[in-house]
Amino acid sequence: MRTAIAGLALLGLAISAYLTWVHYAGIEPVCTGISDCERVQGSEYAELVGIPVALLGVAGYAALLGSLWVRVELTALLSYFALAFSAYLTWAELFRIDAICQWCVVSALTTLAIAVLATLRALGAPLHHRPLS
Amino acid sequence: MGTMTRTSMLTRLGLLAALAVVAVFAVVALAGPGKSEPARSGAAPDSLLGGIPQSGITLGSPDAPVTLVEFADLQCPFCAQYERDVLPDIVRRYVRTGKLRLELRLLRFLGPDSDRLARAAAGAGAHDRMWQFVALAYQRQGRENSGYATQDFIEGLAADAGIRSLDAGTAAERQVRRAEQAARTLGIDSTPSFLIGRTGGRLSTFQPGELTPGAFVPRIEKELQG
Repeated sequence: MRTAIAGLALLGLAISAYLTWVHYAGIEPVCTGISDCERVQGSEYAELVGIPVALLGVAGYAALLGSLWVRVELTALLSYFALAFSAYLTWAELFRIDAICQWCVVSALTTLAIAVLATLRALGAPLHHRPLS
Repeated sequence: MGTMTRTSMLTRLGLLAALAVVAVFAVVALAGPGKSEPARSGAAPDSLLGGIPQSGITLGSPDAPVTLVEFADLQCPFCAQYERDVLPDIVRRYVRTGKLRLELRLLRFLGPDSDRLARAAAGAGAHDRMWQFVALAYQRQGRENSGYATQDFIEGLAADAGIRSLDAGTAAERQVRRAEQAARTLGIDSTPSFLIGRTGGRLSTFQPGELTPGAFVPRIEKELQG
């Protein structure tokens, strides 16, 4: 389970790192036909208090990865943060920017999968206070 | 693991999820774009224009086979519409790929705000950042002739366009006069108006049926083949 989450977090980390690089290099991300990444990346929603959301993604996925060796609840908490933030960004893409970028969609699905796995992992984990039989 | 403990973990996770949702909602509501002041960051124009050669009033490679000239007034709402709805597509498809170069000739027939903005944009052209300046001016376009283009407003545009000291003096004035003279010669009396043709050759007036990329693309393609 931990390996699966780590794999997904690495995928998210790679996407965010790529988008952060694109953001600072001022170039266009590679984009499929139906999406308009340039518009999404160039929108006011691409930054939160001056920080590119892609950079927040890098930090988030890195924290998720690190949390896998701390406590199961921490991974779950971070994954819920990531999922809530992704949901907000997806809402912004659909209803405010009127454009979608496939990188963001993949990242949103990745956080969804991580949140599901992190929840299952927390529920299945041996508890710290297992009652003595 | 007993049922009780599994339930308590479920409760705990539920609380964590609620905490995450509330926290993200709070941050977004407080710091998200919806709440920010109309003055926005200069990142947006640079993401479209970054890396494209710029010189004075022109955007794009000097070797591009086709030239599209726009006559505009920075207060004109249809010019802002063109900038928002048409320009990004044209820039991505034709300018960034070296097929098209754009020239922007700014007029000031709407009023004093237009005059101040046109001269300031010409000043931005001296730094080869006119297109960034213009993009921001359209994004923050105010009510026509409301006096919104104050010195502070213009300095804000310049700073966000990455220009340290803007000189909207005599050289800028000369450039705007050249644009006005060209407009008179061509009989242009509304904005946005367009000229298109092979670079270095004779340009002809072009009236798009509507301000959408679809109205421009066939004409640009035709010139590219011609």
